[in-house]
Amino acid sequence: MTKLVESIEFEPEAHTRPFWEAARADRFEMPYCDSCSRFHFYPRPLCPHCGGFALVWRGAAREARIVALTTVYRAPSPVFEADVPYTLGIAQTLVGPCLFGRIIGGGETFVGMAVRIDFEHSPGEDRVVFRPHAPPE
Amino acid sequence: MAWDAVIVGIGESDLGRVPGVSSLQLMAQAARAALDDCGLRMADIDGLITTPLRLRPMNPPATLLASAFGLSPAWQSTMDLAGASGTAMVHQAAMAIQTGQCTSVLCVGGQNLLSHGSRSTAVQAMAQSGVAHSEFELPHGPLVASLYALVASQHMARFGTTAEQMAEVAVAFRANAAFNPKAHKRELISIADVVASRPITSPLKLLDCSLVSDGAAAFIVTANNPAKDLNQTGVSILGVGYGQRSGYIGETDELVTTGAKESGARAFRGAGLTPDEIDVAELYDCFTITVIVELEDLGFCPKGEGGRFVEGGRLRYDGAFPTTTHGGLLSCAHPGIAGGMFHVVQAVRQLRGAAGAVQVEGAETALVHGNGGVISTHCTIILGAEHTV
Repeated sequence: MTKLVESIEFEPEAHTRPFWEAARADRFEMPYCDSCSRFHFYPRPLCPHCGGFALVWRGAAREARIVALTTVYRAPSPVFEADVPYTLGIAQTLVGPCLFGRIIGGGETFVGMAVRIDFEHSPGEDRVVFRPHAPPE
Repeated sequence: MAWDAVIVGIGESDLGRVPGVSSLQLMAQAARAALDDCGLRMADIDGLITTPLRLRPMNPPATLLASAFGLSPAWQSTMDLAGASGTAMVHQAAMAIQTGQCTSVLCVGGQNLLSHGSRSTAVQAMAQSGVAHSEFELPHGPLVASLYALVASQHMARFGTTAEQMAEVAVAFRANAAFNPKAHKRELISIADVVASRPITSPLKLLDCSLVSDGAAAFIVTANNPAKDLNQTGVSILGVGYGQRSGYIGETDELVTTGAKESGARAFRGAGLTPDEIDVAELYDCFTITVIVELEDLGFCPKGEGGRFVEGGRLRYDGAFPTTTHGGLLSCAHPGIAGGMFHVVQAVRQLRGAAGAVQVEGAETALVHGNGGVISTHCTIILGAEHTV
């Protein structure tokens, strides 16, 4: 068997590293194309919308909406066994791109729920989390 | 336009739990069965396609197989479109023949996914196989099933699809598998059994998920006028299409419409057929929701209607739209990337009129669909019985 990963640590790639550096400083940034004025995510080597290379990292609003979710009852590997059950989701940001993360904070979870994009920091590890967030009426 | 290449031989190894047999031995069994089926010898094979094995590092699999089988192929390829590899192999073998590279291509793949380690290590290996993004998804702990569960959650929220409707797919494919003597799981199950099975990653339960199996499949594609007399008449390739809309699942907000829409439309255009002219479908079924989305995207029912479409046993061998009549990944076998090859093998059986108890009477057209990654990359092929050409 190819060596199975027993930890959730990873080494960022050159084109993703700025995301994690910003996250460590509690800033939410995504790649932004100066040619076509659009954000994208996950980070890519060029703009997936226009093919341009004029990419910069830019802060974006943290408000997002859950478009899909699942609660995991069977851990994929021993490292996650203590966590089950946990809820994962895809959240769409106000500027379009989506992110994958854990939904935390308890309470009811559902497709369409409003969340705020946040980070959890622990030694050697930063993770995107989604917290339930009541949008202003 | 039919291609100048036909599928002439099909074969499978022992399937299910096959302890003490290596991946190479399983593939050798399947290759031998396909050669015997059509009356070719290994020495007649001058082209070879296989899929990667993800259990251990190795030489490029096609080169490894060529030397293991004593072949010196004029053309070979190790192709990886994940679950779409089975259908894409048919097309790529036909292209190699049509462009004059070779005349008889052995397509073979499979592995001892279950007996190599354990079910748990296989589940872990698949979760870590690259299907989840290594930085933005994998560290959160998704199973492969979790990534498809996301699709199911959006389908349910948008269209009112129910757990019971998804269960219909598993129940129908098990009913089909009950007649397949090689199938890994043959005991009949009910909708209640599926819904009450162990929750894995909501809304998917254990019986919504495909198996972990040992096994290999093979088929042989030859020029339309082979050099020697064969035991079988060829099954024709009428249309082929590929499609891809997304890569990683976490990058998209549109989870319920996939590249199967384009792959299907291209295959139908090539074949000059419409969905209502398909007699039997062999759809990739890694999870029950996969089949529901494919039925919609391939045009067998409108978007959002897949749940209602599968109700009442419609996909059973004796239902209104017989689908995945060998039992599929849910009930026949899922040994990894090669899992979609069994769908091709069964489509050939149906078009030969040799599918036994699950034979669709008078089947002249079959659509086979492969889905790779998490609803990412798709290849649809439409096959025809010999006399339809």
